Amino acid sequence: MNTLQEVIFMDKISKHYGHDDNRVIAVDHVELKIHRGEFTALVGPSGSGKTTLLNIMSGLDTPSTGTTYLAGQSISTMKGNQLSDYRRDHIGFIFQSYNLIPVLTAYENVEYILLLQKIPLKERRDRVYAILKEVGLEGRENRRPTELSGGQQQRVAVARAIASKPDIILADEPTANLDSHTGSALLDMMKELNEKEKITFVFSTHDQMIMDRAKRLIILKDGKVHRDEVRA
Amino acid sequence: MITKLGFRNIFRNKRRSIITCLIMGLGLAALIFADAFLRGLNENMITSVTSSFIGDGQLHRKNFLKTRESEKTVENSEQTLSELKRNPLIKLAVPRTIASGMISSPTDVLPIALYGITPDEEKISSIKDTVTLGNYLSSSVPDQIMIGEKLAKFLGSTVGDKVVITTAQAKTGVLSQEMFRIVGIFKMKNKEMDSSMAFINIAKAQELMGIQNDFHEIVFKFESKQSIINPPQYFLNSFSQGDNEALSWKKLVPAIDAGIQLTSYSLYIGSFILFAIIALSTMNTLFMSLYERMYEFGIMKAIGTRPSFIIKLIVIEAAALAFVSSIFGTLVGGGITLITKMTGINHLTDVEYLGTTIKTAIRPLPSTHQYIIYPLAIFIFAIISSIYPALSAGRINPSKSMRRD
Repeated sequence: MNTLQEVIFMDKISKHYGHDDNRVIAVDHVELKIHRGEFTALVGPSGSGKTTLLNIMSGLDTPSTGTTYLAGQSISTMKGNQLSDYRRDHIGFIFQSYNLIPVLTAYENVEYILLLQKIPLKERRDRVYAILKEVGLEGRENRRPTELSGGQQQRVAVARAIASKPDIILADEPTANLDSHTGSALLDMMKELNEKEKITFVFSTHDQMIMDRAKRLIILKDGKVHRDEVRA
Repeated sequence: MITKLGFRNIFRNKRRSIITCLIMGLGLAALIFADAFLRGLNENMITSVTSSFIGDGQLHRKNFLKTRESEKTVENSEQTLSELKRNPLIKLAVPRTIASGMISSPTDVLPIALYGITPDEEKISSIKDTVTLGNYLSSSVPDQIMIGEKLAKFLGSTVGDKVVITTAQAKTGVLSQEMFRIVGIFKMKNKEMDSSMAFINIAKAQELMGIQNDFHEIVFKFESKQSIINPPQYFLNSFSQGDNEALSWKKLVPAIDAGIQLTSYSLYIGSFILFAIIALSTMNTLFMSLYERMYEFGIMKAIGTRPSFIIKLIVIEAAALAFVSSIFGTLVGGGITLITKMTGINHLTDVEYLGTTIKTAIRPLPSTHQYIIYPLAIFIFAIISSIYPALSAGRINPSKSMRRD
């Protein structure tokens, strides 16, 4: 069913809200595999089920039916600490509004997830400095989110997402709040990480810049996979 | 990291944190001061009631206080008095005679309570200090009498005037009369005492009542302050053998004891209200903070933070607020208590409360429990109050809380 190359396997996933006449089907029998090293974009109009699918992929939401496998483990039945730990170790998140912890500096925001993973101090420090350098934030380690531009905050978010060495990074409209120049630079950086480090990225987006860079486009319509294109 | 996050979150909304600390701190300060003030008031009332006339306790023949029969003198009076004087718990013990009688002046005749006292030994009460006109009784002049200010006014008499006392002989009931010269007029600031009491030398009183060397009452004062506040029951029992009965001020003036208990209850009720305010204020602050940071908690949970971490974070924030508030409240409450202890609170001086006149300034009494138990209680209460908001934060559904629409 799921192979070593598969990071995510969504087996007949459906998600509906409400009952009877008010029933809304957000995701309808989606069967999807995401492979290691992919740079995939989930695209579609508003209400097509992109964010719901991303949430189910990460275990933030539970499907009404079907099962999600992440790194070979079913996460649909996980709860509480087990699910938290699984997300911490296997998934990196990048959100539209950067979503950094406002009272922590750039360094501490990245360090936070490593602390949760109980990484020893020296390794933690080395890794945080290296990652912040990699995303171009060297010298800005001690700035709080409010002291950084939108693009810089999103770079911190990327640094936080890759710091825990996850199997997959899920990015929900990561460029929506950025100007095209900053968004483009950020995407180039993520693309580079994907190519160099073989980090798997899945985006939920409307952004043409992401679609242009994606190796695979999954087009959703009315909660179903309308088209699944793999690009050369 | 959790402590760092907790403290930084507190400073995130400084105004709200300061207001919360002020509510908790000033509440604690008020509680510390109220406790010290009530303890001071209670002690003042006890001192007022025991030092004026009643003493810390009294010994009588059983039922004497109910019947006031002259023949009910203290059993083995001389021996009992000397035993009391020898007792290590006792600082002073003096005898008194008590009789009902009539006092006549050229203009009026009035009923009185006639007390026979030993002027030189009557240091147990403040009779001597209450003389406002004339002099205190002299042991060497037997026909002197001291009367209350109001009584003097009713009689139209003053120092130097003569009055006639009529009372009954204890055993025979035969009336005996004697003329006295008013040597002094006293004012005890108690309506009843100032209008119907008179003092003469005990020897003269014994002669008038025909009770030889016997007496009706032994008034005693304890050595220690602790015994005054809580008179030892074993001591009272040991002197309540035979037909005698030793009673503490608590039984002699039950209204004061009831008043003290009432003030304690009112303090408990006040404390309960205060703790409820603190609990609600803490919960309110934490919930406001929680709703503001809902999105953030969603993110924290999404990236793998365990619910227990978030619960601990909220509890730490509450604990930090409570800690600062406790220190602030203890300093303010302690400061106010110490200042008022030094200056005294004069606003209630000469006010009659529960039948007793508060004679001196009230000085709040600090006590260790005010500075340990109350701050600790505030701290624990705040932590308990934080548990519900903390659990709510821990239960946040990340996908729902991250929705901004």
